[in-house]
Amino acid sequence: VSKRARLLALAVTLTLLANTALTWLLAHAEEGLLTPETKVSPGVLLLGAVTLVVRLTVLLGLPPLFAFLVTQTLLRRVGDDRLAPKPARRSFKD
Amino acid sequence: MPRRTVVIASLLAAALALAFVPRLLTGFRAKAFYEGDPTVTLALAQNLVDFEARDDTARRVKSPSRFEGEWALVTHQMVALGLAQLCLAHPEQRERLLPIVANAAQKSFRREMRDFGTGAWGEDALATLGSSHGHAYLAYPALALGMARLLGAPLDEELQAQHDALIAAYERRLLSSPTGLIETYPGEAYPTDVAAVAGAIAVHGRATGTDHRRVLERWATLVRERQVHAPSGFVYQRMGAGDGKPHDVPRGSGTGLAAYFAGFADRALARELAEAAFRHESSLLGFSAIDEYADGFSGSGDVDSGPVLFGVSVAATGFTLALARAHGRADVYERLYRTAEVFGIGQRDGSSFRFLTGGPIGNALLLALLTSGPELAR
Repeated sequence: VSKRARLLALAVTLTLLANTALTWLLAHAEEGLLTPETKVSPGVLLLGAVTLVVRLTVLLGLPPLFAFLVTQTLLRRVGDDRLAPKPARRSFKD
Repeated sequence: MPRRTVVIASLLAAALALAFVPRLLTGFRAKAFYEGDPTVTLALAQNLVDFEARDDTARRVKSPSRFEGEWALVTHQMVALGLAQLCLAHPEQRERLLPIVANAAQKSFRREMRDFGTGAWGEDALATLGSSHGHAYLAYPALALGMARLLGAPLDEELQAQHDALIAAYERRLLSSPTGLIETYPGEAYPTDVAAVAGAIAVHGRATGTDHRRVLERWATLVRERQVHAPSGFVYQRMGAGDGKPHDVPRGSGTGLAAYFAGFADRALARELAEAAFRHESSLLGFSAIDEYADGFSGSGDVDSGPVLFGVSVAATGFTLALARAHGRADVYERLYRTAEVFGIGQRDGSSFRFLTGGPIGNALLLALLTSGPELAR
């Protein structure tokens, strides 16, 4: 596995983990929103904004990225198989 | 295989994934909400039932952080309307939900909830029912209370008498208005708030058997003649009650909420306003939102619209969810719901469901809007 592929896998894993962690944090932070007039605190607003950005990345970024990489890998493999030298046929004499 | 072919085919696969995967991942609850599936509607309701219980506790212990003011008024009103709509759609839930409908409606009617209006006018709306001052903001709790009465909630008799007197005052003020508008604050009338007044009058009529047809028909005629911007079909956001002059431009947020409230009073007018909202839908990749400003107008977001990004607003988009369901536009509902699901961050937690970024007011609004339909006037 190339270094580039490992870095990509790490980035994707971290994004998914961040999405889960931020969503969990937001779900628990909201318990404290019952302030007068339900004014949301700046901290929760920031948390919500960051969670949204990560969520949009997961939703809109990862599916096309996966589709691109999987298609590219499959097509290259097919291409490699075609280009690979085929074993020489045994002649009738052999 | 040539490298160029591989890249083009991979980009094509990425584009296909972008076109179909996000809409599949976010749209699965849209159909359930549209069809009124109790596994989702009652789960969202449960979140608001829990909220009302927490609010009751905070009120009993006189917590300094108890929930009061304009946002609280709208939150309790929308909880009452949403749960009332569910009672109409699922009569088997009525026994369980009706006490909460009544409680939320009564809370929205409390004096401290309308302090913002009392401050603006320098008088309490219920203490000056004989005056010509509009106090249209009080139609929001009046509509909630009307729905509670329509469902047969056991309400305090004094409160019912106050409600009757308020509706009578609204009827008189609306009949004497040349524009079909009454003021919310001194010098300012909002067609949306007046639609809530009409809704409150109509539901009062359905609950008590009082005939309010004359005032409602006159109001609907004047909305079409004086309050709608003909080219766009949107209502003006703010106007002068006496002269009917626009104080703001035609906007999607006001039109969306006006159409929802109009649905309680006049189905045909509500549909006309809803169609205007549908015409202002902007969609991409299966997600959509509603323009805040009609063609030829522009502006930024405010307290009515919420943030306006790329010309579409949070409020107009949310309110149009109700119109899409009430008027049978499953396609629009599904696209709008996907947007609400992504930005609201819908999350299930045991038997409860909520939108994490919505807070109590956002979830209360979405409960009423996502379940709209059973409340429509015949």
